[in-house]
Amino acid sequence: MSGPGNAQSLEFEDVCLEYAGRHGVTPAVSGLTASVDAGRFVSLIGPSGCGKSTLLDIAGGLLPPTSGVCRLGGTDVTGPQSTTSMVFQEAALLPWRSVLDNVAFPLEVKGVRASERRARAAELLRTVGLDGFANAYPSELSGGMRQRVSIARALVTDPALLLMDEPFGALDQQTRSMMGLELTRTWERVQCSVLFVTHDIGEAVALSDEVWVLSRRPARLLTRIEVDLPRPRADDLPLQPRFQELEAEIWGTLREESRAMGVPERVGV
Amino acid sequence: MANARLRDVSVVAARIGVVAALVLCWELGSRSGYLDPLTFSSPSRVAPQFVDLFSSPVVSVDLESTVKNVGFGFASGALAGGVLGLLLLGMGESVRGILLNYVVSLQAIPLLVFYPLLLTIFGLTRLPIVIIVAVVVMVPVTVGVTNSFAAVPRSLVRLTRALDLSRGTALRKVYLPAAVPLLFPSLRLGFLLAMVSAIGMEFVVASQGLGYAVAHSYHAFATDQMYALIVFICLLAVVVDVALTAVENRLRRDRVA
Repeated sequence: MSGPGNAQSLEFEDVCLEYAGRHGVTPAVSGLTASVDAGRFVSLIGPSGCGKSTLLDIAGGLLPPTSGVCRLGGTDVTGPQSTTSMVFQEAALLPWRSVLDNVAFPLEVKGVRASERRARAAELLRTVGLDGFANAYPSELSGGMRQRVSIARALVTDPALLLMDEPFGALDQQTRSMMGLELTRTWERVQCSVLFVTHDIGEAVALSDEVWVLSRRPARLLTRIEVDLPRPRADDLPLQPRFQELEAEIWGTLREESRAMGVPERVGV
Repeated sequence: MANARLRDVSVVAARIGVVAALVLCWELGSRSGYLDPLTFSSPSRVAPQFVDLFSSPVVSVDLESTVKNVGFGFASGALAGGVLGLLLLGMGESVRGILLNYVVSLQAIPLLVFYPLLLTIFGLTRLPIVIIVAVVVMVPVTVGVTNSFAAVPRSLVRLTRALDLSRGTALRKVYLPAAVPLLFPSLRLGFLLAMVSAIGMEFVVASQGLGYAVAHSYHAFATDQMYALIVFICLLAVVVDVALTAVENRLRRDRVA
């Protein structure tokens, strides 16, 4: 069950989710069975609005599935877990707190002593390369730096599972590639299990051990692609033929999916 | 750095200069006869009165009375507004819209008209004034609490859920500070209205309070004393406003810069 560090496995077993709305019941996820092995980095990719984020909320215990179960380290997820951290598309920092106090926030609400949590937060700021900004306020940082603070905050509790919901979606392409590279470096050190939602195929391949391609809503697992690129990942990854092959494979699956649905080719990129 | 400092100093100097110029115009206008000295008095005649105010025990009674009227009224109104605002937040969006409408329309009613009724119920005590002040304060505070909390970014709401914070912790550590920039102006407005309505009611029916003292000086043709009181009330309002700003900046340290 447990891998390197505190990493724990995440399993979805026949997970279904339906929303009861004004126009009857809308299925968002239908019968998903898959698992993230402990210490693996898994990306979720699929057409926009297909229910990727919903799946993340289920894994985080924010949303109970209509049927089926989700297990973390073999235990049913029934609510938010203290061993799970989330990173959202918005950095969601508290603007009235310094960078250091933002990173220390999850420890503060857990009642960790001030000296201890500050030391730990400072350590994580070093990990994400922001040691010089401990006393800055979020408004003084760029979008990319803010997201790094938010990643440091997620890692400060030493999570078993990290859930990331398009964390680089609001950044420009260049910052985004840099952040991806940094995230792999950071993650190769902390080694928790990661479920990473993205709609960027290249990003998914570059970061992950495994990519799950989801169908249009309601989300089904179309295919799981093993990313057999060596770690640590090379800086010139996008130029490697194997990278391009994997990218093409995912692209092909997504294109087939949109054809099968009889919609114009517009996959979420 | 030095430049910024110099700029700060000159801004303060300019602000003082504006006040000084106005006072000078007042004095000159009064001396030259453009302003009727009997109606408008003059700074040189008001100033000594101002000193007298603080040595007279009568005014300290008036001051105490006004501070109590405003203080009790504001405190209970703000508390009621806070509770009501949070209750409204707990309801669905449509119910909130309907009920909030009633609260807002309270603002359109000149609540002072209920003063005689309250007088007959509670007699000539502090209570009628405090009750009206409280209701007057409650309205903007309720609206402020509801709107400022509803405007807390969804991402922060998700964060409180992901961290599994209790209601109290989420309120104290996230929602309240996040709401401050929108909430504080409503508190400040509430305070302003509290001053206006308390002093207004003291003016009409009361036997003490700064409003009563102003009216009394007016009726006694003690114009100089009346202006001294008016200036004093203005200063009081400014001091409280500065204090509220300081509290606001403490709660949201990022906004000081």
